[in-house]
Amino acid sequence: MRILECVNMDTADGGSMNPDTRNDHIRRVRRVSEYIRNNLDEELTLDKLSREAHFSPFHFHRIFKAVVGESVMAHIRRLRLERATRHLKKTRGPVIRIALDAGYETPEAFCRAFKTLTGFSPSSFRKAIQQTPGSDLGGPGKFSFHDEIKQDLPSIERNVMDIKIENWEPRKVAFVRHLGPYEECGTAWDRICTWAAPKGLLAGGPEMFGISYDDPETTPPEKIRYDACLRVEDDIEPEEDIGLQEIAGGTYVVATHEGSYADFSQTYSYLYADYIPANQWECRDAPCVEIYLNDPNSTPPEDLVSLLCIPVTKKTSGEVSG
Amino acid sequence: MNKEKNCIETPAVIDLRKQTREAYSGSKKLLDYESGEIVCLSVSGIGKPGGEAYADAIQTLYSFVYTLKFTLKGAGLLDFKILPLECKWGDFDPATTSAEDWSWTLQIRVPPEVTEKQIDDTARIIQERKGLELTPPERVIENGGRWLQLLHLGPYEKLGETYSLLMKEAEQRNLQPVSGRHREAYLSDPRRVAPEKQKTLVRLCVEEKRRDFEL
Repeated sequence: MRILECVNMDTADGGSMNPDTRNDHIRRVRRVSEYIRNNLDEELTLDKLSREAHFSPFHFHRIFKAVVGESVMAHIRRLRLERATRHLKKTRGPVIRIALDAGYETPEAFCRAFKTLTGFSPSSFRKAIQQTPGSDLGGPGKFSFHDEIKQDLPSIERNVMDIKIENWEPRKVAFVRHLGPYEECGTAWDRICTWAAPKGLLAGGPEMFGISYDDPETTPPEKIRYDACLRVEDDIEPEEDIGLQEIAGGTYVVATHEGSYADFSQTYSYLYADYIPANQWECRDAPCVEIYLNDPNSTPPEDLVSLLCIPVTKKTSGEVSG
Repeated sequence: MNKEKNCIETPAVIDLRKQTREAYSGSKKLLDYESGEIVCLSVSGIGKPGGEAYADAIQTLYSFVYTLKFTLKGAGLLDFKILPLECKWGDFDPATTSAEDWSWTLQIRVPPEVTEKQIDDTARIIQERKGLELTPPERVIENGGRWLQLLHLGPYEKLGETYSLLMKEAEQRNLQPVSGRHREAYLSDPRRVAPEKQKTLVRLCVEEKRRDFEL
């Protein structure tokens, strides 16, 4: 592994900022948001939306969250709910119809979501609005319909973070695919370790990698994909539930994350919204790789150290898939 | 891929921390407790901490303990949580002994159910696959005793200050250290954690002061 450059990112300094590159991320995400707004009645899949934004599906959900501050699915839900609120104000259609149009399966679910957003039940909201001519929707509650996409990227509180640029050789790994919430991926690690131990593969400093493919706020829990990977040599063959794959070689942004795995999304958001565009990188069409430097079973969460590795390439002029 | 087919029936996980909570507590207060004998994988050597022999011993212990744990778990025989690396220092004065001559015994505690044969089998697995020329750790029983323990936060170079505090506490309690039985447990991995954030449990084995006989 060759380290190409090494920087120490301080909280105050985001590196040599390039507004054009950073704005390119905002522009592409804004386009997706427009697309969502104009197609609220369609099935809006991550694949479809990432194509719309010209982002690799491996990175799109994290870039969107980093720029907008909420997940793609939360954004879609909110826009649908906001539209429902407009319908409540301007029409006399039954609440159940409006709830179904907003994508809710039951009026109860719609009522709960509506109350969370506005502080009012749909019927009392409608009553208050329609009985007060001229009032706008900011009337009851403190509710506004303005878009949340920021002109400037969100500033993310972070500790001093070590970030390196590394050039990796491709690595052959054995892996176990876990389908389900990330918090339960320990079963995949148990499986790969119980497979590897009798083969002597856990001795002498084994290299282990995790690949998290999906956004838990967007993808249904049972469909979240995670690969627990162990580097192996060429003579290892796949068997039953043990697959083989290659972790792509090439350039990676490698950031050291100190603390709980639950806070990875903050570090990812900083890298996607700030560091990568500011330093003229763009994401390659390959998944992010996580390297866990200590054992979560014997280390308190605050002492965990992990490397979050994002495959990148130097940005070329014009808009390129990234 | 067929997940069902590979579901392994494993025994309940043994968590040795729960048997002596104080011994692995991250409390900043001084702890005074008694513990029984323990079983450890153990590698002894001489040399500077962080030097080649020391690093090799750590690598050997981790290679063994992970291979052992997951081989036994996979076979449905035994499962246990892996505990922190510990070090038992030889009976020398660090102030007057060159670091190159420091003697140490690095250990990782394992459940008493772990047998010498299982350790030998693990050695065979590692040597066959990796071709590593390594001396397997020994299965060692460490005596129990009464311990005074403090959490040291910071670089290892300053551990002496924490030992001094423990000695003072022992004196105040009319206790004396048992020669050659002080231990450290490393809660942080020194390769991953900055020196100022390193957490080390320092344990002094103590006993009641003996009365001097008057002749």
